[in-house]
Amino acid sequence: MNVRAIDLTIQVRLAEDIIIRFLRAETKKAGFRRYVLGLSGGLDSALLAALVVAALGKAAILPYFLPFRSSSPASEKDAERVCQQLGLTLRRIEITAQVEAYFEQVGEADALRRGNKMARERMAILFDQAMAHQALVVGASNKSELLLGYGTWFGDLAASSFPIGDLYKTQVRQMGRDLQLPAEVLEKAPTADLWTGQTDEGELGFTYELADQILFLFVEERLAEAEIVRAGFPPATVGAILKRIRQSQFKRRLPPVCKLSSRTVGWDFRYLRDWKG
Amino acid sequence: MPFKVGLAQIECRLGDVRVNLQKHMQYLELAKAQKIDLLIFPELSLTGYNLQDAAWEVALTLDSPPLQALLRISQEISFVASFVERHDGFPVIAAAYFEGGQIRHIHRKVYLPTHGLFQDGRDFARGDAIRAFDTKFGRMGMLICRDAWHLSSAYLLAQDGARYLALVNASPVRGVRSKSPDPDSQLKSLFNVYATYLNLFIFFAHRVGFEEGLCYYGGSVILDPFGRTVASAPYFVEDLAVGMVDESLTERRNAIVPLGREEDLTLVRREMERIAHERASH
Repeated sequence: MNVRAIDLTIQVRLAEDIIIRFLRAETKKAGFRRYVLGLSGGLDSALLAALVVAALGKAAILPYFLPFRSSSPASEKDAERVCQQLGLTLRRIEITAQVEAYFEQVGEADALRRGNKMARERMAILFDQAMAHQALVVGASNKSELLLGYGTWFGDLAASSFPIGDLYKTQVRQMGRDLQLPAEVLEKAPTADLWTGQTDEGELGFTYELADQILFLFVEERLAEAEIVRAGFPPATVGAILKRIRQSQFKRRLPPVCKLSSRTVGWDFRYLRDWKG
Repeated sequence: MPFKVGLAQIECRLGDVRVNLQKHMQYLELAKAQKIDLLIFPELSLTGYNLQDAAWEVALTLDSPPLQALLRISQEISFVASFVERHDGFPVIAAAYFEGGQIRHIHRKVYLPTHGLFQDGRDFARGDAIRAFDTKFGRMGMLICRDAWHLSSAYLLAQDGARYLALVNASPVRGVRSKSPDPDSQLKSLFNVYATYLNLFIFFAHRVGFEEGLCYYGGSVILDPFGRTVASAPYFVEDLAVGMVDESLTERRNAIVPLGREEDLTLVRREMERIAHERASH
């Protein structure tokens, strides 16, 4: 059966304009002038760095490369490439010592636990650096990752804002091309680089190009699973994606508060963060 | 006599009436300096839009100090401002027409969007009237945001004699797949229909700025009864859009296409009553 191609193209300049204004508004509201960003060498954080520079200038971004000893040298090279293009100085803090020290104490762990530990170690460093520099931690998660739950809870999913969190990965690529990010970064296979040879698409079992179309039909178009399959998408992939969305809902919400009173945080104490009472 | 209308496309600070009132005063002074006769502020201009539980906390009675301050300056300039009103014991979204030291009319938002990201129906009571009113410029109607999506609202105001339709808005971007931020182009098409087929001047006042990740896109516009743009503001930035409104265009439009004369209110009422009756008996 032929898959109906879903066009996810956006008006990229319009979206850039809005994100740039959002980045400015967020710092202004917080009373800060700068963002701390973990620059992985991948496309999402590279795009975000370019957007922050466009919004607030070079001095407004502190990019950190936080490698573990098994991190790919190519990642560091790509992060440097991005900094070079944007005129930024990459700050490097290695996380090997503290991660190893922990696992020496508790014993060996599988790749997932080690990967999560690394992501949370990075989060702790970024938040500390943000405090040291009076800055906000800006998160690079995109919509595909947020919906698939492809991120570490309280790790890379911890940030003060997600400026590109409503862009699917394929739209991130479109914007990255428009902002002329380095070709190496645009073309590389997406990876969390938590262990050697890891790629997002290898681990997920499907490509972002396919996943984004299915996600779009489910999220924006509100089609049911059977309707997405009828549109020509492979049933196993559709099923796997919708299952991932359901199973990762906890990562997209505040932890549940057990309600005991008439007004409870998370249930019926409802104010935006921007609330100025 | 032609008169000068301004659209105050402002940022609002969520839940902070004091700061927003200062901005109103600043724009009203600016408007006075530019000899603007009528200034329109956007939806919930005194409070910001996405109030949730704060709706109760910022609700104003008509004798409250912020509205008294606005009443004083309305001796010098006519304007529309929007706020949460404590009305019959509940918060409502209100737009008030200030003129000559008085509130001449209050419109209370009737259609409260309560779906997706919108929670109006959870936080506010709904208004129960859509009526035109007299101003020194002629008869006017006001609608608040979603009210204008319901075609009957503008129709009622036009039949009630309105020549001017003030649309006060707070609409976040929810699509970037076409050249203008969604839903701007659909709304502008709708307003164009109102202008040309109901013979109305449209004063569309929209806000800008962010509430968390919600971006209010601006793009305020004045249309004449021929659907032509008299004045417009850019997207995303604060602006004061100013245009001259020549009310004689209303009669010229009538002379060209006398839709108002053809309209048959008796027929409409009869059919509406029949439909309501048939629905009730289902």
